[in-house]
Amino acid sequence: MPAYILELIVVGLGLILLLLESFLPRLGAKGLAAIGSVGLLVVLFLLPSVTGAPSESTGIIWKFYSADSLALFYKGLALITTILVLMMSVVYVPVMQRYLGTGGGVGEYLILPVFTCAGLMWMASANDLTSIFVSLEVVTIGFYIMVAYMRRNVGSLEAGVKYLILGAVSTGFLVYGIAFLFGVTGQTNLDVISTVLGLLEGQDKIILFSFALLLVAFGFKVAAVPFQMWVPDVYQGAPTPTAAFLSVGSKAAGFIVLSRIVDAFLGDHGVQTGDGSYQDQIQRVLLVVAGATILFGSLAAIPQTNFKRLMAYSSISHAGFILLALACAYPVRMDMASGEVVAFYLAAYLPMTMAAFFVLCIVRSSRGEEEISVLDGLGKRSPFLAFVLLVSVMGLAGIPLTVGFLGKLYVFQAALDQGHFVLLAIATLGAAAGFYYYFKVVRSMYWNAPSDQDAIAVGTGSRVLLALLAAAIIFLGLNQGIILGFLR
Amino acid sequence: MLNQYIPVLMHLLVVVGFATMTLLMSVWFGRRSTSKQDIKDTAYECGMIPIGENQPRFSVKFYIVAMLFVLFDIEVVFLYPWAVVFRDFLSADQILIFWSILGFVGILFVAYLYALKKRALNWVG
Amino acid sequence: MIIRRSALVILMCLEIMLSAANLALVAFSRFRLEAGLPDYDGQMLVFFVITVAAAEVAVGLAIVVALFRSRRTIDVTTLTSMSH
Repeated sequence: MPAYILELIVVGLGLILLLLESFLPRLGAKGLAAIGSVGLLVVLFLLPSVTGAPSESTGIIWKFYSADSLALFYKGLALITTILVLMMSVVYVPVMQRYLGTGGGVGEYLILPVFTCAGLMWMASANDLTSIFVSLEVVTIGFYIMVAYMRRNVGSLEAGVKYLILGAVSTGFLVYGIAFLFGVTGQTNLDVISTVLGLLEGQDKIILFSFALLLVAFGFKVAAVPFQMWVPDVYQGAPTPTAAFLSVGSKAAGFIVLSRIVDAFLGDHGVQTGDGSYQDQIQRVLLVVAGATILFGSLAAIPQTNFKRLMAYSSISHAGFILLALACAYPVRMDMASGEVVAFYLAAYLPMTMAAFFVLCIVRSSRGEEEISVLDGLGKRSPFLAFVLLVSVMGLAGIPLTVGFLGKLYVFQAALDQGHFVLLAIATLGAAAGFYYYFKVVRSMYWNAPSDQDAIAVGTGSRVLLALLAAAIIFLGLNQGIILGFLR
Repeated sequence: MLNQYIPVLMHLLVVVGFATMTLLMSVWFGRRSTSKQDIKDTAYECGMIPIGENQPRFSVKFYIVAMLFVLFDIEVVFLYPWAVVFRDFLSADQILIFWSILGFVGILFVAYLYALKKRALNWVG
Repeated sequence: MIIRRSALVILMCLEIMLSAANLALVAFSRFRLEAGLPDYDGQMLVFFVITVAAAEVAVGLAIVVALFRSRRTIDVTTLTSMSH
């Protein structure tokens, strides 16, 4: 079965859900989410059985679409993320209905992630400028709607407008970058572009110009400094499941495309540091952006009091670590390409972030606000929620025995192999700052006195999912081979 | 070495020049938003006191229909190239050329059903 | 675009940006002749950009209408409710 069938199934699932929602309204949010996640689970189980491009390259589709192991890995990440987001949305529905007013259903909010998931999966496979653009826009437009979904809530609308305007600007940069890359190479397929770029002589400036435009566009998607200004506001204003989806899904897809583009620019011939070629300059730009992103994310997170804003800044700083891995194109010690280090980090980032946002969703739907102080005394009131959040925060900070530690370790090793000692120092500083601001959450949960004693009700389904996520954070941290096994 | 800069430089010059000109022209020719001049707004000696909305409000229904029209209308863009390459592709890959457009139109059809069911096309009510 | 305050005008400016990029694409594909014909890959990309821009603006206008209904203004400089 060719790999692109998966996306077709996911789109078909979305269309069926759309019809069900409009013709069978009594299905309700739970029914839609159940059908959606079961369908996505089926696709997830089909994932290992798909085949890549046939050897004799027939069929025009393989010009736009690749199905290497990295693409399949990211498809899996997208599917798991979407299933978790659907579950989270069910918990969040009561909060949502408060802000929808009359005549507004919550149904579409559970269908849009499915379409967005198809876009994310396609982004993982896109190896042509056309398919990159279209799949990226499928994802982005889906997110515009999801961010602004609570249309009676000032914060959500404001976040929606900010995301819309900045997202559209980044689309403009993307198209312009694509236009210049097409202009200089005359090709749209990334593999062919890579070959053509290797043959071109004396076009360094225009190649760098097109790379800069593309970097602006993808820097926006993955929240890299200096294109990070939308992140805190959008995370704070958007519905919590959407913030989680943005933080994991959108970022992962942005990074796979960015790493494919960087690969196309750098080529197969390796980078000779310091020779002043455009490859060298691209690598240096990436290093500077990575360092700035780690520094900004870590330092700006320290004074935050809103939990979602804290997660936003922490997501910026994680993006910096991933960019650092991307910039270290060829680590010497582990035989992992930078793309694999990036994939590992993102796979580690998924359960930790999802668990944190899931707990926040549950707390929000019972308490109605999202400041860190709302977690006061959670350790006494709901020991289970507090424990899951503790594990996830430990993972995000990168404490040993969690999967987050392994992700950071690989990045540090890659930087060490390439001899980027300044970046290594910055990354250490960022990780140290991380310990501090994540500890604020822990302190609030276990040391601060609770404002009230009521336990927070947690449904059985959520309980099972949270336990699974917490177990995944620790288990994957103890067995690094599992993620690597999926990766190959 | 420096020769390769020239197209980029010219491009930048034109871009910056065009942007500056556009901005300056909108400052020169644009209508100034006058400061509040109450005396100027009142009716002179006789006539109606101009109070109320200066523009009639359109129903939001117009907007929804217009948006749907734009979305369905723009999709025709893909049908024309499809029709142009149809004959050539028929010999190369019959299945692809048929099912790709059928899927595309099918998605539009589902969107149409959805709009219909959500009463987006109803004028009354 | 950066000096405008109305969300609507900003959306229009964004459309102009996309049109500029489209124009660049068409020009590049026109000047790269293959056997006397332009390279159609670039023009194909333009079709996709046009349709995506239409979808983007439809969603964008919907968000701006929702903003106007709740705030009675679409001035983007008033969007400052979130803490900094």
